[in-house]
Amino acid sequence: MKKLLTIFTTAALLGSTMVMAAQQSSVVQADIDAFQNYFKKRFPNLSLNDFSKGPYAMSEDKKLQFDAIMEFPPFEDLRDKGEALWKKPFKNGKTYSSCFSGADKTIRTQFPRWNAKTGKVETLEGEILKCRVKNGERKIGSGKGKLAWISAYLTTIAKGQVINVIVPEGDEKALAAYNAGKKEFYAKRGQLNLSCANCHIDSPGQRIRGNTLSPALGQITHFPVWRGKWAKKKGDGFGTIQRRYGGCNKQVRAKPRKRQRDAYNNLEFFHTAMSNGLEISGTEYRE
Amino acid sequence: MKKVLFTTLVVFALSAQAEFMSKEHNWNNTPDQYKAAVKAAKAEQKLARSLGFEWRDIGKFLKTANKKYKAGDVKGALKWVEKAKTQAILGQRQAKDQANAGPRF
Ligand code: HEC
Repeated sequence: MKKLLTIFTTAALLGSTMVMAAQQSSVVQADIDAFQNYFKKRFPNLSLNDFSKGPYAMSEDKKLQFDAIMEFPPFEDLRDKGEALWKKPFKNGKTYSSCFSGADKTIRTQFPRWNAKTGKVETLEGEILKCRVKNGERKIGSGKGKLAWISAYLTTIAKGQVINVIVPEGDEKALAAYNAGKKEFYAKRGQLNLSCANCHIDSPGQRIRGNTLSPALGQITHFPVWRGKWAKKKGDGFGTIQRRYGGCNKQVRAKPRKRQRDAYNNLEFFHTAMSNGLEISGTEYRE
Repeated sequence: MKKVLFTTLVVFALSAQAEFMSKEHNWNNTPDQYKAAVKAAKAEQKLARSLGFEWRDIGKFLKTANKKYKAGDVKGALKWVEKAKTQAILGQRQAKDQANAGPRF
């Protein structure tokens, strides 16, 4: 009887964990393995987490420059402002964290995620924007400024958390969204007829107009980033991952997609999943 | 003589017609022509956008066209509209070509 009871409780426990954590689609897992193996073979001296340093992982000299800048990061004030905003109650007394679940440091890696109810991909920045609207606060910009500061704060405290985007096995809609993002990544576009993959899979380490190309693996571990280039232009230097997507689209003379809509959200879903297993490295500087 | 006269008449008629056309009925550079061309270019642009393959500068080209048009340079304006339309059509072709894009590993 005792044995039977044990079996019964074990089965119940197993059942409940299966409901809790959706299983990764086997198709997607195969994609991730092929993607990561390609980069591991091409750069055998880099550890998985080294890839998150992007262009700075491609050259010793650049890495030294990067380390020097990161000793006194130029973005600390703004990230602190992001923390203050995150903690400041809305007019109704609630805070941002009322829109999220789990400890604050786990929020970054909960996204992007599949929402089976809405049949859409949710992003961290998108949920922060929705949270404001839900709580009667005015809208803010979707690519830089306050939104990027808040999300930079969440990225900083998520340092060391492991990326684990799940496309649930058996969910056809989720797989379709993932595949749309995958196509967005591999399709050549714009007048220059180049895909994300042409630059960030075929040519990492190569120089293009004064920039060293980063490998696609690990590209999302440190966003939003603070860029010297963005600080010189309008704004304060911070930009979200989707702002970066827009910049890369423009480089090939393609019209960028609208931020926080399906096309870029699906791209973020795919792009982030490819870095599953890497750690968030915190907010970082980029050229 | 008869033949010469005939030729002269034909030449005269043709040149008169050409003159007439370029002044009053310049079929290639009228405001109507411009408006129709913009409409057509925008329809192609919209299609390229709906496929997710609109090129970056199409909007800019149409703006430049509009400036030229307003300054009275209809012929110049039409050139920019055509450029916009061509790129919109090329974007659509790209969408088709890239329908099965994917990794090579
Ligand atoms: C013409 C080549 C080119 C294409 C095509 C291109 N990029 Fe980039 N991308 C760059 C360059 C140059 C940089 C700046 C240096 C770097 O980090 O690679 C960059 C930077 C990035 C970064 C920032 C990496 C970091 O660590 O800061 C991301 C993310 C990115 N690209 C994603 C994409 C995506 C997604 C696409 C397709 C929509 C794309 N890129 C298409 C050239 C390209």
